[in-house]
Amino acid sequence: MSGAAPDDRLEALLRTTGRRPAVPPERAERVRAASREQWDRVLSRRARRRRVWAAVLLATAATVVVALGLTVRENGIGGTPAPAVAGQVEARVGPAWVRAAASGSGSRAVLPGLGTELSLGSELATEDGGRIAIRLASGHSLRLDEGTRARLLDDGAIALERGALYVDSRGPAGSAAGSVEIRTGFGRLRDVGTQFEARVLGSSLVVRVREGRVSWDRAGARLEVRAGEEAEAETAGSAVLRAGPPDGTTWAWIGEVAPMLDIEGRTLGEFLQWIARERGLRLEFASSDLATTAPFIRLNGSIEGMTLDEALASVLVTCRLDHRIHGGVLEVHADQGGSS
Amino acid sequence: MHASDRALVDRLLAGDEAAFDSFFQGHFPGLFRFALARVRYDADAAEEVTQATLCKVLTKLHTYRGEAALFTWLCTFCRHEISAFHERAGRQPVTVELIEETPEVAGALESLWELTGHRPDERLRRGEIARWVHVTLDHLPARYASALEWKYVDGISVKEIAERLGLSAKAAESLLTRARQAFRDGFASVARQDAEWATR
Repeated sequence: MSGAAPDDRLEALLRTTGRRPAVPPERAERVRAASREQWDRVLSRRARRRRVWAAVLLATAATVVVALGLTVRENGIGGTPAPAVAGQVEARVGPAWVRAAASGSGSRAVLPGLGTELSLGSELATEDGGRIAIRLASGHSLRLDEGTRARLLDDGAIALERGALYVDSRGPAGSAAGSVEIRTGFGRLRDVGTQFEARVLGSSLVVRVREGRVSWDRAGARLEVRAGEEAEAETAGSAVLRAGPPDGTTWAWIGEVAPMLDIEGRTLGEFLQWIARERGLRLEFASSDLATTAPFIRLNGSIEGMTLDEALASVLVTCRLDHRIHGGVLEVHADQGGSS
Repeated sequence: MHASDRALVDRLLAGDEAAFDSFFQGHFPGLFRFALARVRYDADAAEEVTQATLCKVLTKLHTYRGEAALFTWLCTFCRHEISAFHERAGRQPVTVELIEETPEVAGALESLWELTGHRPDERLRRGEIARWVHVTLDHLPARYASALEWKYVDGISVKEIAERLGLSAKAAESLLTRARQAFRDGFASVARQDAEWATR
């Protein structure tokens, strides 16, 4: 035996021992999900560090532009998403799963990365601490709160099974997208140029509207819910309509998964309008000079990975501005000793 | 310098999705087995340790310089997580030594060849050798390990291996030659290491 050629021995050794034992798929999937989550956090932190730096550099440039009184033409907002699919992931926080439409042997749920394209029929599910934002091919921004299960239906509608989703009918360029239909066990919702939330609460559905209005078809009757209103109804019986402030803490979760605006090349005015809308606030400037100047301050850098509050603070400080929020208003003013 | 490992880490840091897949698929199974053998074959413990290791590693990726193989670097983190696990469990911490790459071929293979008999007292020993083989494969570059398993365990032809790896037949032969040599070197090192442990 010992006289056998080395390669024969190697072959015998490997053949005798066989393949390395595989790791059970469910264990691999759990570890992969946790690792993926960690990787996303690491990338986000790295991007944030780069962005803050970029914003600081930008501040100087922005200030110079103001000081010189240069007029800079405004840009249109952002590119449009690829229309070939039902939607694209714009932001994800925590465990938010996507399962592609089953094709024959079915498919498994995955934690999608930014930019992941979603096909018609895809299922979306978020767990505790998980949220996801999707830009639908129609242009709508769709966000799912934690504990939500929904599906992108083949005809472009969204089925909400449980939890809560938020719809903003503004497209990425700020233009109004068409209408989108939300199907629930409590009826069908259709937006009319709006920002709204639909939340399944046990045996009832609550619809809250920030902007525009929502048409709710239920049991043969139609209910109109308008901006600043909140309606709640069970499958049967009449709906309760009450006031629903557009900037309350109940809307806060939307900001936690808000896709950040690409501020590169945009004006301060565009940024402030965007962030005010995300927060459900009305934008006001402390002086007419500021209101006149804001559309001509051009921004550079990125706010990706920041919270809305961090983004607002970072951008304003680079422009030597400050803000306060009171009574549903985002007021922007010059900071102490700064120029606007 | 482990340039390909360093390139993989650079791609990970740049957010390359394919790099994450490659990283996880290429290193998780081996790391799990590395941990499993050191937590008394408790699969739940191995999963916990491996997950903790990967999460820690991902936060430290920017410190990887390619001076050691990426898998060896991962094992360094895993060793700490294993020690922490034993401490949490109130067990005597187990010292985990990394496998050094010291080429010593003939002796280990020769002794292995002697162990192809069927005496009952050799069965345990043969099981241990199987583990050495798997550990060695886990420490090889993924393409090397896969090529060896395909050829010698599955009996797949060089032509098909070449197709699977996207290589010409000649390049696949060359890769197999390098893989065999790397395996011999690594296996000898593993065998010697375990033998030293057995005498302590």
